[in-house]
Amino acid sequence: VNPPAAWLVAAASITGAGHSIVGEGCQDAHSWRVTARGDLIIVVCDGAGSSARGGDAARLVVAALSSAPSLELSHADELSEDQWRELAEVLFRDARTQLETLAERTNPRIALAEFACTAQLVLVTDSALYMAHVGDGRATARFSGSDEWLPLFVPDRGEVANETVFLSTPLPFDAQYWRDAAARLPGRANAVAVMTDGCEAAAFECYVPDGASGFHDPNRPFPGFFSPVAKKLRSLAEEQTPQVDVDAMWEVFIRGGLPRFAAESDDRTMVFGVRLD
Amino acid sequence: MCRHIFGDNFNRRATVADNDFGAEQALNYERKVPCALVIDTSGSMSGSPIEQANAGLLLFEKEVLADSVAKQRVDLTIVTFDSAVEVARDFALLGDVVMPTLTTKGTTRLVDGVRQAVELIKGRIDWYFSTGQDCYRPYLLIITDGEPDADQDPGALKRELQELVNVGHDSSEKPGHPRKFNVMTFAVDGAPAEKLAQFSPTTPVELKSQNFREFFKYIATVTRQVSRSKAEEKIDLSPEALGAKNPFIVTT
Repeated sequence: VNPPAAWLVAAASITGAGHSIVGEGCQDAHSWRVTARGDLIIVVCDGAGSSARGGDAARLVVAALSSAPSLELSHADELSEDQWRELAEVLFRDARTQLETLAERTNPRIALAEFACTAQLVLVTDSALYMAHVGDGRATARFSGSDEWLPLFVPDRGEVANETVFLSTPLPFDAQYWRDAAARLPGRANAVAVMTDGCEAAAFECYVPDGASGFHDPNRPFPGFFSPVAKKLRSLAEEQTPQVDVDAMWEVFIRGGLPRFAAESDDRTMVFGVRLD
Repeated sequence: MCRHIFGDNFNRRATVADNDFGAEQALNYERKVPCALVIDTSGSMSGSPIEQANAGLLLFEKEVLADSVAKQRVDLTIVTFDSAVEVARDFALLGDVVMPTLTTKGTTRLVDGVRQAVELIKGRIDWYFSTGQDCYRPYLLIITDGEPDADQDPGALKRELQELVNVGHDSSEKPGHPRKFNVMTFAVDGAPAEKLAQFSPTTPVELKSQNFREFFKYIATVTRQVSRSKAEEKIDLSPEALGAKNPFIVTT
């Protein structure tokens, strides 16, 4: 099956070695689709490793967000940033409600906290990129007329670097949070990548010396990673490579195409889309 | 001691674009996972138990070194206690310092040993912060086959450890950002769990010395994974939680 005309997308979720060792499956989940008018919708979720049902939560939230009819914008329907924040909050609240229902239905004695997962939602239209997220992970986009890869959000961090917030916790649901967690970037994105934190050390500069005072996280997309991938995906599209072959190549790449991927014990998900026109 | 502690720039050595997409990887260092092993070397651990523990330590080192990320993260110290307390290995990455061979003698100054390890961890966190580094939650792993000497105060130690588990160490180098501790206690060869519970803030896990190799292999897995675990859920180390995944549990 040939890919949709507007975008070529490569996507994979890989079980990390750490989870394989203890017999657990992949707790990441993802989805992408291209709407009738050519908008790209990407959803990526990372089920919390130590919560019993994190993988189930990730799959449910991906399904809930990616299928939301309200993401199907019609022509003159570009949203303001406030409108997008409002919509994103509704969608994430609805996903959380579905998590609550799942938890109750599964076993009332199982706390909602056992269904912990992060969530990232990206909608790319002809004139803007809309982003919303809860928790960590990374995302980047490159816009027409620029070679720069922009970070789409700052991952939520807790007390230490590997701590974050989840859709199952009450923290994400206040106005202050959404002011930072949802944004509209004007312009025409020609490439976008969304990933769980298992991919970040390979693709982002996220712990580097900053000169005088030590180390910091610049949240900087690494061009040496993203630019060649975007170029290769475009060439695969020109060669009319079947989607199934693109996905197979991408899975091999995310599984061990870089030493940092091969060494990573966490689950890894990356969805990478390039615009074709 | 600190010469290599920043570790190699793991990614900088590995940027060759040997993949179908021509991608190179970003340049990052690794945050550290401070880990203190507090090991009982009293007379009752002589013979097979201490031999197994020494073999287990070497296996632990081998397991961590085989993981190219973990070996840049696991920052290990070993404190032993018998009639005295000794820092058998100061904080360092695996492979930077030869793993000590432990020997046994004397009684069980457990409380003193644990307090020494706590101070080492606090000092290490201070040092991380003073040098602009970040770290994951520290691990304090206590391994003993007996109860503390009669003149030790396990109740006071328990309160101190509970404070570290629940509140954490607020470093003067970075005030307002306390680091909470993960504390695990392992009761070797039928050590009285109720006695260990007098000082341990978490339920002691039973462990057979003949399974030390499996134990240290497991600990290597835990420390490799800790950097991936996420906050809100503290890692539950009770026997019930570890369940079938824990190969060294003695079920009674």
